[in-house]
Amino acid sequence: MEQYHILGRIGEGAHGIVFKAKHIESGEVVALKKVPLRKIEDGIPNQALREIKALQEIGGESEDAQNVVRLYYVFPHGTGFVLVFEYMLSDLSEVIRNSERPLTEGQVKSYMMMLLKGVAFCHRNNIMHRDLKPANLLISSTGHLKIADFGLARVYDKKPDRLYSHQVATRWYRAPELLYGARKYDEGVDLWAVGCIFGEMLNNSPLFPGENDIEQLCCVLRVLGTPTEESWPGMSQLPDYNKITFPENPAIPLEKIVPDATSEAVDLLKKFLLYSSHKRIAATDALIHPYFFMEPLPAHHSELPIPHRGKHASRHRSNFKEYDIDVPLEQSCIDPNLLTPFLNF
Amino acid sequence: MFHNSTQRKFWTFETEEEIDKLRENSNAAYRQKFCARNKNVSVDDDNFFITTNEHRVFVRHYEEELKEFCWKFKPPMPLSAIGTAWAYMRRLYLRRSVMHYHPKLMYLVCIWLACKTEEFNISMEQYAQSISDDNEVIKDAILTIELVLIQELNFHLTVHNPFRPLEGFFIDLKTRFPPFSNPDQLREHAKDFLIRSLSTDVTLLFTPSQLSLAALLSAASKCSKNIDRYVTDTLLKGQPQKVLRETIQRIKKIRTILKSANTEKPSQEEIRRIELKLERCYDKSKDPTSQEYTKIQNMLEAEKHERHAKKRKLEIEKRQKIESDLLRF
Repeated sequence: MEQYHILGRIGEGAHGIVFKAKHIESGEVVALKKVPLRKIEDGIPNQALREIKALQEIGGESEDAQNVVRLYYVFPHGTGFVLVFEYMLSDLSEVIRNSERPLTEGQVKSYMMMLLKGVAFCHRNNIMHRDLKPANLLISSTGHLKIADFGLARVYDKKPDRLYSHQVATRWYRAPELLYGARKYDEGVDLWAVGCIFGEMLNNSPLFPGENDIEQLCCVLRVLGTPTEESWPGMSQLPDYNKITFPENPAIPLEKIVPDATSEAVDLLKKFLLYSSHKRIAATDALIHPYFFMEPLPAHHSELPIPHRGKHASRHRSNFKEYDIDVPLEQSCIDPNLLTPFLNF
Repeated sequence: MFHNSTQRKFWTFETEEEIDKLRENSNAAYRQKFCARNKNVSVDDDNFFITTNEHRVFVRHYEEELKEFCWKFKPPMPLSAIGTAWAYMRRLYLRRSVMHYHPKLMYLVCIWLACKTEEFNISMEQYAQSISDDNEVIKDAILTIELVLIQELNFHLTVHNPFRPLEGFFIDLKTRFPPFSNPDQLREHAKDFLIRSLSTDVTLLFTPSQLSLAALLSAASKCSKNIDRYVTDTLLKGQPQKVLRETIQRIKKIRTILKSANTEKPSQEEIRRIELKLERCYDKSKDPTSQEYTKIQNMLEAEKHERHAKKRKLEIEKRQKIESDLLRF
């Protein structure tokens, strides 16, 4: 920990606080996620283990892994440990929220492409993320999108008999099978979330903003129509299927839900937002959908908005303008005393 | 994917000598550290310190304990969790001697951690119950050492076990090699082979799929079946001769190591002897069940307490000074 100089607080995750920090020796700016270990009944939480486990294996330097946030290093600290991640400026939820005008089509395409590459990479490594949402898609200072927060990620078996918890994923992005309490599901839950994120970028507002779990299902059913055994084989076997019934209603054509989108965008969106998980388009297949090959082409990352952190962080930033000529030099430099332990004369 | 895994990058070695060297180094490192604190012991006193050979025997004994514990566990533990626990144990005692961490506790921590990372979810309550009656002490000890183990494993938690590729071979045999009518008859033999392989260094030398292929071929010869044609004409079809030759060589190597390895249980007397010896030379400051550990922790606690008290006292004095300064004006 002495090797890092804390620059400010970025946020608080489900397990642990995230700090922005500078590695004193190299000057590299990183994000530190502190995972505290209170003396809890069952020791180190599974979420923390899953995150370490998944990222240690996939967060490499390879071209392939470029849309997954990099875990540089893990070290113990006090009674817990610290995960050292590459520092990311912002996340997609802020980009959607902050953009004064909706994202251009080229920008949406570019984000979708990076998201799909990241998801394809995870799925190829048999990892389902289970909590994809704009706030977990980090944006770097160069505009790149990277998937983060693997606290719910887990390695999945192709064997169909494995039971999983259905209490995963943030509600708005939760696939219908999870809402019905499914314990057997697959990477399709990520693809549903990708569809929701896609819709949110096209509309600049969330597609299914349910206030609670029941209403969430209502939102989905209102748009996609009441599912039938044909559109969703096996639906009636889901644990919570008989607990709730909804009045029959027909589907609203997605063109009406995302009125400004092109027909290719709507076509791709349709392929994600399907009741039957198996029918949802795989990430690798989605990447070769005509949508990505039509004008306007995906924007280059330099044409993407470079976001700013929310209010809290911008205050921090004004304290740490690294090259501001008006700020006294001492404030923008690291205290030389901090460096001395690393110098060998 | 195994190819870009931490297992391949950090825990797969070229030669057996490399592995032996690591064990020797860890042994020597411990002796040096110990002698730095205890001047009356000599570094090369094999009557006092555990030798690398004793280390091997002792770890082997606790691997048996590990296996038995997992086998008996209710609900039944999946093979993947057993394999992972075993791999953690191998990895730990590659870079650390049994004198660093006494295996009597570590094997339980390895299993506990593996259950979590392999998503075989059990509560500590449940786990501790299957260990002993005196489970408060052991519970705390496991939870205390858990983080230490993760650190020693360098935070590499994913283990690619050979059991999964073995299932893959069975599916492949059934779909692409119809001449062989009932591949399932090989399953038990192949599994036995793999379980035996866990107590040797082959898991640190070969890939999981090479191990499972070796298991399959060994099982076939046990059942007097010949599936060589499957390997040459189906599995490696179209591959250059060199690949085939290398594969065969590696499989042979696995089988020789396994044949020559002593996978018998060490004798009770031998274990008892090493145990007594270890009692005198292992690092008790890292064993939460030992009295020394409690003593050290209490000392640290007291120190911390003292520091805090000092700080508080200073603060009070400072405030009093400010107050009295203010009063003076």
